[in-house]
Amino acid sequence: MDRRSAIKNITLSFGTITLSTGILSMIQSCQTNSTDWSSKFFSLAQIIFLDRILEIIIPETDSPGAKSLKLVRFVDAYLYKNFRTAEQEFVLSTMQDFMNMILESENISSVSDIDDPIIEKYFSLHIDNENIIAQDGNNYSQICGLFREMAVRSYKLTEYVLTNKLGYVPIPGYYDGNVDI
Amino acid sequence: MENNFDAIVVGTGVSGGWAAKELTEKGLKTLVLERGRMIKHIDDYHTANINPWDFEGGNTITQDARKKQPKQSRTGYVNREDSRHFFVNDLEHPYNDDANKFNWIRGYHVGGRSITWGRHTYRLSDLDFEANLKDGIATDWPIRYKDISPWYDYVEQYIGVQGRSEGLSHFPDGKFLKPFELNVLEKHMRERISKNFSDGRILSNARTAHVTEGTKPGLGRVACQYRNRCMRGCPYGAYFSSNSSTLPAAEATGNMTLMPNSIVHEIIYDDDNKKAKGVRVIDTINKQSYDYFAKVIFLCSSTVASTSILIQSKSNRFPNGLGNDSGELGHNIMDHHFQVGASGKFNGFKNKTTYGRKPAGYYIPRFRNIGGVTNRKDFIRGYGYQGGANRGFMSIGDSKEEMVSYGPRLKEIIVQPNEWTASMGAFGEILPYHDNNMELDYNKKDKWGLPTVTFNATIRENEISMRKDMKEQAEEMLEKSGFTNVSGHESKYTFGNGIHEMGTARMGHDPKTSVLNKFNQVHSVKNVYVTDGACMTSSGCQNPSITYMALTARAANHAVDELKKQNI
Repeated sequence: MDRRSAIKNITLSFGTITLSTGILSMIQSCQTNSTDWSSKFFSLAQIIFLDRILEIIIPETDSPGAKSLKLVRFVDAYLYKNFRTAEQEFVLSTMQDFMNMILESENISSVSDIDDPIIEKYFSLHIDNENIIAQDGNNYSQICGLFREMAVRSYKLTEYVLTNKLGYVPIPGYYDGNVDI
Repeated sequence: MENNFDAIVVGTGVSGGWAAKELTEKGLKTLVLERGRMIKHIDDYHTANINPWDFEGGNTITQDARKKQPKQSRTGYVNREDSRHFFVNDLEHPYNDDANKFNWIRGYHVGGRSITWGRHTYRLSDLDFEANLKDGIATDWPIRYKDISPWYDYVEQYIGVQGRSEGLSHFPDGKFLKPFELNVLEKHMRERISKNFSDGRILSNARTAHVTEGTKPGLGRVACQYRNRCMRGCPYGAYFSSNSSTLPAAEATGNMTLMPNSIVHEIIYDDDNKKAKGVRVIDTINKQSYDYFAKVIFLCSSTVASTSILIQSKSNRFPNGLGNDSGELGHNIMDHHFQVGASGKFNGFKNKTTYGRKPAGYYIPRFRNIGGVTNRKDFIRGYGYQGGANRGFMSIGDSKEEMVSYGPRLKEIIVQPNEWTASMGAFGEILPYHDNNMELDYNKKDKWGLPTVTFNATIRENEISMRKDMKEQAEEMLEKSGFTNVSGHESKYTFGNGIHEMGTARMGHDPKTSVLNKFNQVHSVKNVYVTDGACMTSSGCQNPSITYMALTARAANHAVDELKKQNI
């Protein structure tokens, strides 16, 4: 990632997020001219946060989870390419509010300093919780639901899952309509 | 470049490819003009081998596609990332549908919609050819099934069509290759529908233009590999496209000159000799205008484009467009209305699944208004269903049964096989209403200075009544086949969304009420043939492309005979 755009991405994160050594090392990776991947939609801080939420939803077990499968890249690309402007603005602002809320509630200054159990605590509070949804004027439940939908969608589109779990074969060669499971 | 030929073919889609093949194989030096860019079979199918995980962000209709293809996007599927390059940029190719929305869905390239079509092929029967006469509607077809039947045989045997013979006169059997197998649930549905309905309705295998055994002529056309990526162009040539089949045949004769990037906008009429003598073309690259001449001209550029060329071909003899003595040119536009049907879940075959991705499921042929107890009071004509049954995988909703919101157990659940589901959607006939029409707006021109098309078409009471029955019958068939959670669906149909627009230069006996005669010749200009969807006198409910192919092959052979006899 270009150093200038990396800094630009961070300053877009509404000022309450400060750098930690983790993010600094990510920027420093720019100096190696790494062209591995750079986000188009989320800020750097948001990417770090989202990556961890996705791993909570689809964790590493005896098979790869969200981090190993780099699901955050799909989600970033999907929202960038497919969501309408108003939808994108909603996602970014609601996600930022959610992150800010966690930081303020836990008196933490940096996204990368939040422990995973803390993120999970807030995610599980807002996902599928009818009471929260009823009183939730902050749309946190919606954004958590979107995280989960994107996690599942992206998981089931990875090469690993399609070929190892869902029986996808690029060139089947024939059709059998009566296969014993 | 030479500009005199024996024949000119305008368009390279389903009809144009056939005209090119037949005319060149009969020895005619033929100029084939295509307004779009070249697409070479296999070389230019850039997305043919892309796997689902290779699409960054998924295979979707992106915001960029919506901006550049706002009208193509209305279909909800044609311009996903894997196929958007085969559909027009609406901003560069505008049309007008302010009065009533019209979805004119197409691409401009060699092969046209023969690359992206749905590949379903169902013959018309005399039930269709006699319908206008019996109902006292529009005008009678000037042909009957016996006239076209040998040509259906001819084209089907050449291109390869898979399907199952059923012995129904209103659903004529073809020259079939072995059918795509029905899966366990589809076979169950076939048995149940046959048993539970006394009106003779059946569930059959869908009939599609796929090679399922052996090979077919063309550029190495072999059997389907069950990838279900047809719309991207098939590197196996396993389904029919002009690019893999008819155009290579034409090229092999040495008699074809293929010119992409050539917009035909007018037929040049020779007032003295009272026949067409050529076409006027704009080169899309250098924007220059050229004239090409031939003894016979085939308009195969698709319904709207062919009709547009005729309308633009004004002269002292034809002030309202070439061949438009009847005033019917541009009128009677039809399509197939659809987006109505039902789906359901099936609690059985729990230990069964499928392997491979067949590109077609089942078809339920028309069972309404075919005589006796099937005749309705609330609508005339009929509809057929396309559908399929499959077994997907669980979703987030399925995890809620276990109160699992996320984590290891969700990860396990979402890759478990789900219950079997099936769905079916009907395609229904639209009657030829004179005031459903297209016309040209000379005040709104495109970037080549040509008038743009204005559409004005709606479905009426007959179609609306039919849609009610389409939904109810879909629900009933699923329920009687043992499905649960049966849910009917109906989305608002926008005219043209069936992508079967047709009828605007219809065939008929009488030049006062039709544009073309029984051989697809313009009544008053017999060396001009129109064999694409524009020629259709009624729409039937059957996917029409095989009919266009058969009519084109028939007309091309007629043209060659007429040339030999010096009748044209």
